[in-house]
Amino acid sequence: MTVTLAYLSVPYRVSTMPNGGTIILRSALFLLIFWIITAFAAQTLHGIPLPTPGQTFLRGIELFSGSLFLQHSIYTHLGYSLYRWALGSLIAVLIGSILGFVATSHIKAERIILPLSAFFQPVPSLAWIPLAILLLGLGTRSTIFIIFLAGVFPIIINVVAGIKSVPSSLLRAAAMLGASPQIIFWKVLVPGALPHTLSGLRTSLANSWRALIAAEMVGGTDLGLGYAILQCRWSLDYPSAFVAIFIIALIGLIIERGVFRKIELRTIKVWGMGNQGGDQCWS
Amino acid sequence: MLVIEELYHTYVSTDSEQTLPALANINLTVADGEFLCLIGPSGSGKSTLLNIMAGFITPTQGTIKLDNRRVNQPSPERGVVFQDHNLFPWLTVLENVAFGLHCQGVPRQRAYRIAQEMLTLVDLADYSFFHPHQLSGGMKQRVALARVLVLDPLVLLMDEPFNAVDPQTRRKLQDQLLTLWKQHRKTIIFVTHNVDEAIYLADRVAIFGAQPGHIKTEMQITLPRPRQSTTASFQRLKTYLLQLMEQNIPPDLPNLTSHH
Ligand SMILES: Nc1ncnc2c1ncn2[C@@H]1O[C@H](COP(=O)(O)OP(=O)(O)OP(=O)(O)O)[C@@H](O)[C@H]1O
Ligand SMILES: [Mg+2]
Repeated sequence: MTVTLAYLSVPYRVSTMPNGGTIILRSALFLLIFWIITAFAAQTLHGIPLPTPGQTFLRGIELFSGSLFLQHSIYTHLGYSLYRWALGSLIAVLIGSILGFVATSHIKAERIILPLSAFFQPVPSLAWIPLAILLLGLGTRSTIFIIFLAGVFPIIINVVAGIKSVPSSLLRAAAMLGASPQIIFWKVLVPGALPHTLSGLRTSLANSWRALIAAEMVGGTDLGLGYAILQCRWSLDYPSAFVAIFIIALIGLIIERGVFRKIELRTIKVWGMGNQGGDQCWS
Repeated sequence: MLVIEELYHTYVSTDSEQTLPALANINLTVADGEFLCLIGPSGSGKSTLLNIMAGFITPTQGTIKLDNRRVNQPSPERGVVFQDHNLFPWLTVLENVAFGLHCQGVPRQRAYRIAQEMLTLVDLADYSFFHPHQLSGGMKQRVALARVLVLDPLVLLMDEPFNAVDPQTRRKLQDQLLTLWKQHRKTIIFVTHNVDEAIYLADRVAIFGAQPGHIKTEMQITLPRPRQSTTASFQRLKTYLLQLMEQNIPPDLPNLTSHH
């Protein structure tokens, strides 16, 4: 009996919960050991020169201290990828928000916009590549088009869900207090739709980041992380490819922890509105 | 003065298949500064009538006039306190109270100063920077009251505003409301299920019947204020009102009350 009680008591359970730092350290250690064993096995059993953590680390230092990688520094590759991502996502967010808002204000528009968004959302972004090349040719414009398509549908769908989630009683309250349509839009609909909009933004940015790397691999550009990774095949520069993969993962982590988590802590959490899900997009 | 004449309301379902008569032939006149309670069984159309007075719903037939102007849309001159506060979760208490002033174009600093004064009046001066979810039910309702009082409305429309709080807090809120009402002399139309609350607050009670909702009878409450629910006259009135609500034909009036 006492054992059960001790087990159920809160301090006991709390003390067995590892904190965030420990969790990260443990998974990093696991990754390192797994990696070393795999690299060793690949080398001895098949003669494949898989980069070891040491080689990757050293190459990382070289690259970050400015040594050239396919004629450009790693910063240039990263910069170009980020630029395309930001531009494509910006267009997706702007157009997606406008379409989402139009859909909620006109029922006829909703009947067109929503079914089409739901229909096209599951299409993998790479499937659009032939269309992109046909319309815009090889190059950055195609890449940005792909990023846009990868990101726009989750925005539309979540903006619509967000605006619809604003209780009509709050709209009544606003009207009763004398709010103009502009005030209702900016002070009621926009903040009320924020929880859903944020989770849409999360999905959108994660989708388009993945789409970007893939699009750079086929899109006929000579810059960018995706392009760089694929080119490592020819130069047999696998450590550089590994460095690029780490950078890609890190960017995702930084956006999630440094941007979304922060925005949520300052808005939704303070307002007591809770999280509307969507934590899993970066995994 | 608020005048309702031959008002009917029928709800029609979205597919127009079903109709539900919710109010029939409502005639009601509310004097300036009067405290009127609407009381009656569930589904007798009290909220519907309040929503029509607020301008949220357009009645199927009939008119409402406030000071000879027709009521047809929501307006700050008819402040509503809802059953579930309906404060904006993303605004602080102070910003919630200043919201209506902001809508009227009052400069920010001035709006916050007026809002802060109103919060002092409802005993919430120390909670300006809290968000609604950090307040108790009773506190939220006081903020909801403050955010309409700050707009100096002609009429206050309150739909079972104190239902979500415990009896002690409820009595405190009622007293606070009465104090504010005495200071500002607003017309108040207050929906409640609670006979005790109606007798404690009202100058006059309108008793609703159902199917379709109509006003069965009205009764002036002439008990001197401040009222005490423990007195014999209060209790007699309560018994009488309860009987009125249950029966269709009113029994003989007890000597304390007059009947319309
Ligand atoms: N939005 C609506 N659509 C359709 N019917 C409605 C709607 N609102 C209320 N009704 C119906 O109208 C009738 C009156 O409802 P109302 O809410 O006005 O009653 P009430 O007196 O406020 O009841 P309660 O004391 O339970 O709050 C009820 O039969 C209800 O089902
Ligand atoms: Mg009601």
